[in-house]
Amino acid sequence: MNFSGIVFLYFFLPLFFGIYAISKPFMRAYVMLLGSCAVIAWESPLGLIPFSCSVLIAYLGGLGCKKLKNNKKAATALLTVCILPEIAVPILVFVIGASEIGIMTTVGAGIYTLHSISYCCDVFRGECEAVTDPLRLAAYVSFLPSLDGIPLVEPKKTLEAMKEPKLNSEMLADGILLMLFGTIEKVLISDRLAMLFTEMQETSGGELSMIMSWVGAFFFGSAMLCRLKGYAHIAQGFAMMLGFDIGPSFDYPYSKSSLKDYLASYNISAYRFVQKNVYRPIAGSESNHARTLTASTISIITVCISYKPSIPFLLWGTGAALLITIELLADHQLSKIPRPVRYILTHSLTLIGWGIISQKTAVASFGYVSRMFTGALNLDAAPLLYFLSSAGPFVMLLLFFEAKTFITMLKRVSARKVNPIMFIKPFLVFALLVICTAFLLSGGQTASRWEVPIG
Amino acid sequence: MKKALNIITAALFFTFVCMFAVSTFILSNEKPPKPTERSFPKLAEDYVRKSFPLMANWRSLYSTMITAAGQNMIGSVYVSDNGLIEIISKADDKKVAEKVTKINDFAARHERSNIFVLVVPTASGIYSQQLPMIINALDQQKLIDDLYFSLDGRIQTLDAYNPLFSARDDYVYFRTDDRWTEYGAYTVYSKVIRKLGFSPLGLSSYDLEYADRDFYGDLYKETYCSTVRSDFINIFRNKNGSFVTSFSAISEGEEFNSSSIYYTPALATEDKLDVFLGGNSFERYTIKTSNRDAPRLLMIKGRYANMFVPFLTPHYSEITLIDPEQLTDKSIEDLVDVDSYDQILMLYDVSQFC
Repeated sequence: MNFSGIVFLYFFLPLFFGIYAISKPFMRAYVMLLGSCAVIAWESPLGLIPFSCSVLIAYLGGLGCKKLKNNKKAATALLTVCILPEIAVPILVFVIGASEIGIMTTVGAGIYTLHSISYCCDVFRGECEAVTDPLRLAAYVSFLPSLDGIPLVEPKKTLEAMKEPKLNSEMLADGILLMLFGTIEKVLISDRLAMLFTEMQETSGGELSMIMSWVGAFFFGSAMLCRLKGYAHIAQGFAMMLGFDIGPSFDYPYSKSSLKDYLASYNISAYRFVQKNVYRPIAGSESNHARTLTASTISIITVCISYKPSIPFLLWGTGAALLITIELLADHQLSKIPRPVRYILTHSLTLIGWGIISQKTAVASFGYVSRMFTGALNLDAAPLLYFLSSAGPFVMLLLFFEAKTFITMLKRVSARKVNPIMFIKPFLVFALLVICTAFLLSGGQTASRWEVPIG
Repeated sequence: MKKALNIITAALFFTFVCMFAVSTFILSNEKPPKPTERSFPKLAEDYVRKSFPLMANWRSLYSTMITAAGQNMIGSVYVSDNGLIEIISKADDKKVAEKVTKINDFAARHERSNIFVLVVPTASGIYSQQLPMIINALDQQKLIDDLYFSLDGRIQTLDAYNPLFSARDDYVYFRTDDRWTEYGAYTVYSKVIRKLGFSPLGLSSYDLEYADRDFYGDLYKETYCSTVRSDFINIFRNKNGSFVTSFSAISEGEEFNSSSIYYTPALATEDKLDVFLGGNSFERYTIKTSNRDAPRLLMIKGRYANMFVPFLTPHYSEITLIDPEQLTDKSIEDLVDVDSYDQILMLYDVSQFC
């Protein structure tokens, strides 16, 4: 079940929330688990099998790590045994393709796999208590608002909050608003930009000019950012409705002027997960330069292929790791470059990255990137104008939401004694709901033409 | 105050959502899918899309917002100043090959018959040069030429592209539907009828009857684009009176009889174009005329044939139409004695090959 779909918004959400709200607080985690099972089973009931396996592994792994906390070697071996079957799925996807392994790649597979790993690692490090209630653990592993693929939530904080989630009117209203806003980002901005990118590729017959290649990469990157941001806002809003504060997943990546900052601000929870569970164990506590660089390289590649285990994503990750390594090594020299120049350089490099992952195969990725530099120099005035004018309103909307000043202004207004936003909230919710409904009911066919890979 | 406004916000949201969710089930005429059915999630989503209250208004709102944002493609429909055009971007090679094989096989089975094939381009093919160059519309003239080239040498081909292209500034296609108008059909008739061995009747031989001035076709129902003007349904009445003496249409054993090929009660229904021959839901249509000594025509029809047939009635004693789309387990030969007809005309439109 897609959280940005009409079935979720009009049928699942009110039904689920009704049951959740009337349940006693200590029962709510179990209601959430039921909701997660319904979402997973909606596409295929067989999807519950890998999910159950993942929960079982996390449960036994957590208890085992707790028991073996005085025997580091045995605990490490147990942790390895727990993690291996979890990471086997993405590795299999990478090697033989998603369609070949059927039920293993069902809804939420990415998120519950990473939640299981995160939980086991935290228990192993002693940062989180092992949970004795397998159902509460299952509710965390499948954390319902994140089932669309984003964001990852912290085990300790979430498991604690799951004991007795409390509902409050402010979080409920804000959650609804944020969820609808996320849906708008996905169906209005992301889907339209994605469609324009597809049209651009189809009409050029794969022979985009140099300028069009750069514009196309921008469309693709913006569509992907908006889709992920949309899903993250839906998850954050949905979690707020259920009484959880999971925080934002993006920190204005378009405003960053270094690749490292860009990566850290893009899908923050995935970055944190990799930092905690990949970077730190490899880098260790000693300040060994080579080890640090190896750790950061592996971490960046892991983040990148976590979106989709495929060759273009591996290429993207490797390229990003290389560039960030250079950035780290030459930090002193780079700091002398004027900020606007560095900003342009950073975002040009990210556009190349989008160009790589916009294609399905490595050959197509190389072809696209080579066109970004060696494509025909013609200005393509008519098609370029058509695409720019078609994308214009959506890009403006995206940049408006991405501008820090807009949010700062909103925060300032909200902090005032008489908060006008408070008064317009009901109208805003109504307007967004009407727009969402119109797009969800009518724009489905365009959305299905294109899928941004995530999770 | 703040708490009250938050509660109002949440209550408003859930009231609106629940109201529409419940109405979807109560007001729907559709049967909800069973969870045991294959691809249930997709069926459920389709059910919701079909049954959701005020669907036309939601679609209209969507189209208004999309067109206001400067977009002129809604799904596969291009919104132009003059109307809606369904863009056909590519042909289905497999379908083309299958259809060519079927036509050639049919011709081989009826060697002595005079077989004609007429493939009519859609609006997307005729107006492709007026579309923004970025819209990838199929070159329908080339498709038709290639298709004709692959047909058996005994089959005679008829050209609909050039007459329609020459008359492209006239009202040859509906603004809100993906079919041609009666005038479009007349334009082609006036050119191809000579190849069938007759002289065309001039426009002056007809009285034009405006059967409906407020027709919104299938493309409108797909987009609900409010910027497009409604269509007219015109009926060309022969000044010398109708040649048709009887008309019958058969579907699954049920027979519909009439003395006219125009089924005017359809003008009061959703599918107003069913006024021509009663629509496309029959497997066989038989039209008898007062021209007793004239030849008999067998027509293998597509959706465009209904508007074309009225112009053929002055030239034939009997016209039988077979709709292959409606034949499930029967063949054309099961329904009629093909060799007893003087001419056989196969009329397709390009969308049947895409």
